[in-house]
Amino acid sequence: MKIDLKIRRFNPTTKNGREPYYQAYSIEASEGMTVLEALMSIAAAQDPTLSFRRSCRSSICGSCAIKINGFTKLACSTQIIPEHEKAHEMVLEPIANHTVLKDLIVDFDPFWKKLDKVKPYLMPPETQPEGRTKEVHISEKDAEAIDHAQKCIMCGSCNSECNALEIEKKYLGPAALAKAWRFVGDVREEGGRKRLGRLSDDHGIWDCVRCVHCVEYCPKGVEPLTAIERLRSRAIQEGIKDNHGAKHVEAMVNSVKKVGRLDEAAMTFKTLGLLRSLGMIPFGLKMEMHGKMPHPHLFPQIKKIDEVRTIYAEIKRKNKNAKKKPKG
Amino acid sequence: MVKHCSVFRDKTELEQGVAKMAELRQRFKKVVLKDRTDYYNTELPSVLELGNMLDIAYSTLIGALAREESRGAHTRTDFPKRNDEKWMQHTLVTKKDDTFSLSYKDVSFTKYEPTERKY
Repeated sequence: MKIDLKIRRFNPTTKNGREPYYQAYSIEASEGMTVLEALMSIAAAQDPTLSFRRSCRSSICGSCAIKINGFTKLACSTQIIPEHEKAHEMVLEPIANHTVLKDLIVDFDPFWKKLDKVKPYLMPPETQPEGRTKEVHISEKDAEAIDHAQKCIMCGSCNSECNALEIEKKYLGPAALAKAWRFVGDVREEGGRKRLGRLSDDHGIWDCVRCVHCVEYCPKGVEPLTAIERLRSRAIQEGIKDNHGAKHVEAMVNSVKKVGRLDEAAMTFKTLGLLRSLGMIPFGLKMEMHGKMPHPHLFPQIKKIDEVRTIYAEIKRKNKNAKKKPKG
Repeated sequence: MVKHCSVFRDKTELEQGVAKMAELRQRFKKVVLKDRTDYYNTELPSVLELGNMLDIAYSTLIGALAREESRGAHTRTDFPKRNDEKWMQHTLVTKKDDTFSLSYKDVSFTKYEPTERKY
């Protein structure tokens, strides 16, 4: 079966490649052929100047993440014929949210730097805590809590599709935060609280907008969003609440508790405080012009507020019971 | 290599393989790069790898041709028996000025002596 491909080319060192362009290729695809195999056959037989990263060809090295018809996938685990049948075209581009270096190759330095920032290694207590004579046993349940996070092959697919990273380059990103949870959630970890403090700073766990893209596009089922949510609740449990993210969550909980619904107009003040809210006035005016400004309710409290409060009481009771049970 | 130097080998296949590989190595001397840039040139490493692979393949072939016995995954259909007396040694291949030479080194074993496989 003949398949036409369009591949985004870019090479800043040549005259023709300085401006990105799409180049058309055509290959004879056989049943079961992957996109990576197509790329390799193009590089071998048609155009050796085409550059892309690849290594293992079996979705374990994480080198070949590219955008296939607009969505980030591993080239080695995507078959070309079914993909072509869906879109009737085959457009290959480098992953997003990364600087393109050449053709399908992107700069991974920021990715590794962010990973370094979360200190991707276990920090056990420096000296053996008193009374501990044996090694720490990890129960099946303990392992399950972090298992998803250690499947990461660092292909960058999640960061490529991350909406928060698109508007804030400093955001740590789903890949690094999933790695952070792998250690914060480890029962042998000692520096968890310190880590959570750092992760709650600007451009940390609270930058995530929960669009679920990272979960959807991860080729290994890492679920970075699950990791981020676990980090968030762990941070609040640890009492790390002096940041916009935690304040926002608390304000939301309290608003529903108090009036039975989300009083959006009051959220800005509760999250940012009065002074900082004043700085948001120009932004608020813009929102008003676009009809996006939430207006305060005249009578915010709903009629059946008692029902809402019953739910809160029930949650409180359950949490109390959970705490009483011995761990493990 | 799959045809001439698989698990089951014999003299004629191996000799043909050596001749073919020698020819390929000659052809490799005329190799050219189509990608002449020096920025993320992914053709260059693949060509360097090809040259090394040809050298390794040639070494494997001449080593297998010289070893007239069967041992593990090296099964000579013309010499089906294992011969510890003569071949209990490592094959060493040395490349110097584009010629390959074979030499041998004794196997040192400590606690467990290698024995013939009985299954």
